[in-house]
Amino acid sequence: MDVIALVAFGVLVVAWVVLPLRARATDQAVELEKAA
Amino acid sequence: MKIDSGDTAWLLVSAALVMLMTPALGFFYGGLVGKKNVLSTLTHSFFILCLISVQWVLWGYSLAFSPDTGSGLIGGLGWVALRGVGFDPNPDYAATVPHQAFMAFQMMFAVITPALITGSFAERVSFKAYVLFSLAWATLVYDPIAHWVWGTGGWLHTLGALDFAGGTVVHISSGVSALVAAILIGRRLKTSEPHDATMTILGASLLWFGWFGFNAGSALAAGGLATSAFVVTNTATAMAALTWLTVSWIHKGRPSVLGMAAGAVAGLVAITPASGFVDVSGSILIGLGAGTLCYLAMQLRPRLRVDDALDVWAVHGIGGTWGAIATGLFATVAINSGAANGLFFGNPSQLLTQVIAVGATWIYAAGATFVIVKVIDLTIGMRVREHEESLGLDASQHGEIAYQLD
Repeated sequence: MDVIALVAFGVLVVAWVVLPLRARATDQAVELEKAA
Repeated sequence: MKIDSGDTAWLLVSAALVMLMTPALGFFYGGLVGKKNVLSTLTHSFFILCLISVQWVLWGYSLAFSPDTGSGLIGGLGWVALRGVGFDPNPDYAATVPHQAFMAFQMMFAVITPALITGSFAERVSFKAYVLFSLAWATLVYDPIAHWVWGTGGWLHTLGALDFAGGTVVHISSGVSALVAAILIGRRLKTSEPHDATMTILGASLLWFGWFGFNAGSALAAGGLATSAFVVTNTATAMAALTWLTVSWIHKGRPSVLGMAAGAVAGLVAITPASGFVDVSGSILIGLGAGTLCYLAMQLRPRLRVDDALDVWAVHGIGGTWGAIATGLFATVAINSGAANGLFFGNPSQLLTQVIAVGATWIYAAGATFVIVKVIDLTIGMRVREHEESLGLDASQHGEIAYQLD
């Protein structure tokens, strides 16, 4: 169980590094900035 | 029997921590509704804090915890209005604290449980119907199930079901009831977007804070078991929040802030039944499962076309079910020598016991809630009228509005 827990946390950390932020999110941020 | 001042202080502080969770739930839910329904949503939590505080001392505690009537299903009326519930310890429940301190701690659990359900019928139920529903539900659903699991002589207690702080009693009962109520009451005329995400994050943070009392306080003593419950509660919650955020990132392309808050609550829910029985690795796996399963359950809502407005079933029903089952997988006597091992520690029969407890709670909570909602709907009606719903419950039910922005 200890190994599974360690691997699970490791997979999350790797995911945060490799997952892309979709362009739409950036577009939204630009729109919000314009609106402000 | 000698009262331990440290245990008593811890239990009273824990009761106060759990008390804070109910208004915190109001903020968690309040941020998720539209701005025309903020006050009514906050009231759903605050009013229940008042309502059940009185119900509990008058008859709720007696039904849940007084000596069994012989059936294993319900306590008697011997402790009505706290007769016989004094300042000497009751060794059946907590041998080192005044009996009234144990009663007060349990009262806060009874308070928050019906408040959890209100998220499912937010923005469309009349205040009168909500009051009657909450009182009936606390008496006919919460009190019996609390007796089954925690009361001396309760049938699930006798069977050996493990529920440290309320996975079945609090979360499955409220989550399943929320689903039934949402189906029977029907969809809102128009769904709302969350009007204040910051309020929801504040609510989730305060829930997390209060949950240390909920779980670590359930050790009923200030010692090693309370410390373990504290640590695994924090770990599972953090892991579930991280998992939900990651799964939503994979699914929707962005790490959701509200998702992280919902994930934290899902983790708190799932670790609740297991918090006195599992080690840190078990709590990480429970958090991982909660963040994944509750997120997937939430995706079912639009497909099922059930308007469980604030996803009470997905978070509490599914999170509580996973936590109760996971207790049967990961429990170990290395953490709690008075309990039992789970499947991963060589005792598969505990998993079966947990499944029976989960099934019984699902069936009873669903059936009883169906009857309560139907009776209220056929008498005074559950919903507000259409123009009242369009106006918003703050104005139509309370004559007040949340924000004066002009």
